[in-house]
Amino acid sequence: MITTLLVVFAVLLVIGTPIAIAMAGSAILLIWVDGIPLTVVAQRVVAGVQSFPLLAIPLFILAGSLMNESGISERLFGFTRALVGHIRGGLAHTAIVGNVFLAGISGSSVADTAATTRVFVPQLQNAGYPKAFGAAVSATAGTLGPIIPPSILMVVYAWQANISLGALFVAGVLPGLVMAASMMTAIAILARVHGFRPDGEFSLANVWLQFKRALWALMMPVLILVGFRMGLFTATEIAGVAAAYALIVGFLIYRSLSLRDLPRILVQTARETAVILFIVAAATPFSWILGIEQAPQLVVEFVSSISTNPWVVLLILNVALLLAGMVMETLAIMIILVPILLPLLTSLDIDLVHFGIILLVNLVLGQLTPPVGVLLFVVMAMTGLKLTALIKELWPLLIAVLLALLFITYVPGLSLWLPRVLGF
Amino acid sequence: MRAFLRRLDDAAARGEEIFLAAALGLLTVLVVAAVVFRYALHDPLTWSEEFIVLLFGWAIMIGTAYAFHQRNHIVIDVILLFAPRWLRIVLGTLSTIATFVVLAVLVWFGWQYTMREFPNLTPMLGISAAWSILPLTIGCALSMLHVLRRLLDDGPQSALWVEMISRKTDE
Repeated sequence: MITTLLVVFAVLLVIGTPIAIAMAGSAILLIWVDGIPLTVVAQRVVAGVQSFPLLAIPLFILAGSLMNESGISERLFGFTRALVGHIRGGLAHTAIVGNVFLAGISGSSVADTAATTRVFVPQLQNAGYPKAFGAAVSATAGTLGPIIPPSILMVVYAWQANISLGALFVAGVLPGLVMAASMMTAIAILARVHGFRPDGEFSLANVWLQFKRALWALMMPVLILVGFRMGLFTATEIAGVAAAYALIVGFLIYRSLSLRDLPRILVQTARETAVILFIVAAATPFSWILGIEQAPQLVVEFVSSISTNPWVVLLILNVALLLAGMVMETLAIMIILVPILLPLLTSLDIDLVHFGIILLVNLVLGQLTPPVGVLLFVVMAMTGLKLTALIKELWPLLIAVLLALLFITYVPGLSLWLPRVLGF
Repeated sequence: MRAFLRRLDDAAARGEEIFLAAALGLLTVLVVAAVVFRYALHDPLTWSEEFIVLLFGWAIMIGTAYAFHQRNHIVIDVILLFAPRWLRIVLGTLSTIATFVVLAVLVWFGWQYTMREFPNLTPMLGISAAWSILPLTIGCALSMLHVLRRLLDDGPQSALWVEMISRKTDE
């Protein structure tokens, strides 16, 4: 029955049915064949969207869009350019470090990659870098979005795994920095090989000036983490406060938003949220069938027959997730696999927060690998580059992220130390 | 007939936009207000969470319909990208039919579920529990309307998705 479910699902996907419809459709077919009343499907779908914690998703998206529309990416990149522009290949480094900060405001890799591509590909081209290199750097830098808090995918995972979102957010900070460091190392090597130039001189006065310009934007991630640490608000309330903060910054401080923009931003946010949460809702009857068919137990048995060593299992999971990420859409993988994998992780005493970070890094890496890599599509669409040209510049950066993934997988402390020290 | 469908579809989409902007705005205000009432006024809004979840459910399903209108739902398009035009038409026809059937099932059984829950009251607001189930039926019915209009206007090869380049730059 599981096989039938997955085959129907795969067929529906291949012919181009929206993911949510493919999930609900395959579940409906199996439930109908089994003679179970179909109101069960309606019940599951409705239960799937009635959740206060998931309301954090539109509120974080809203906060990110408001900040983005008020021109903070330009301010953040100005600040990071003052910081790292003077290094060899400085402009490319600026894109990476800028995304560390951008990721602290937005929770989506697609939005970050789009913002970075818009700003950097023309700049890098003017400075004499190949266009495909700029595109590759922008796509890679965008992967930091879901790893450094806030993160939409983390909201979904924390909800699925029933763990503290605050702990998961904090756990993402150091792994995100490790990924950024790894990307910058690759860029430094490439800069030597290709003879890229530095970009401007370093001046402390300029750093201070740019820091002041970007201060309000830089404060937002601090506000979010402090909010969690104080334990005064629920995750959803923190997201709401972040949205209110972004609104105040955009309207009153930077004064770059006007009231006329607001309905458009709200509608766009609601639409993006619905696309995510319709998948979450439609997946509930799908996961329900996998559950009653004991898919999680089958996975535990299958993996245990290979090895019960957590380190080996993590390696197996990494390879499986990377392969899945190459052909499947990020959110769909997470929605289907997390409920199936949870019993396995618990039986092997793998920390769910640590696994969450491993999972997310795998998933964003999947967004960067062909054939299904949403970040590649974004930069290709925005620059008009062909996949082959892009891959030629991308592979050293891909290897850099892959090395960071191994490091993050086998050094659990990287994810778990900070939440422990901060008392989550 | 076609003109009427177009007008109906445009009106529905416009209504959805207004609803979504208002709902999300209100949700944000309510979430922040709940914090203010709890800490500043020491008077927690007891009804707010239930109402917020109800409104959120509506926003998701109306947003789902609107995303069908905008053709924003996520589709795995590797094969579609490389398929010749005739194959895209064949696959598009199949996937549009599948989508229609699934939405119709959700409308019908969503409605039955709504009717079944009608006599039950919610704990805090004391309104019928049907209010939180109705958006499934309404949202999926509106989705069917939008898919139908796209099918008539753009043909089966792009009723559910738009060509890659234009879709991705929309972000």
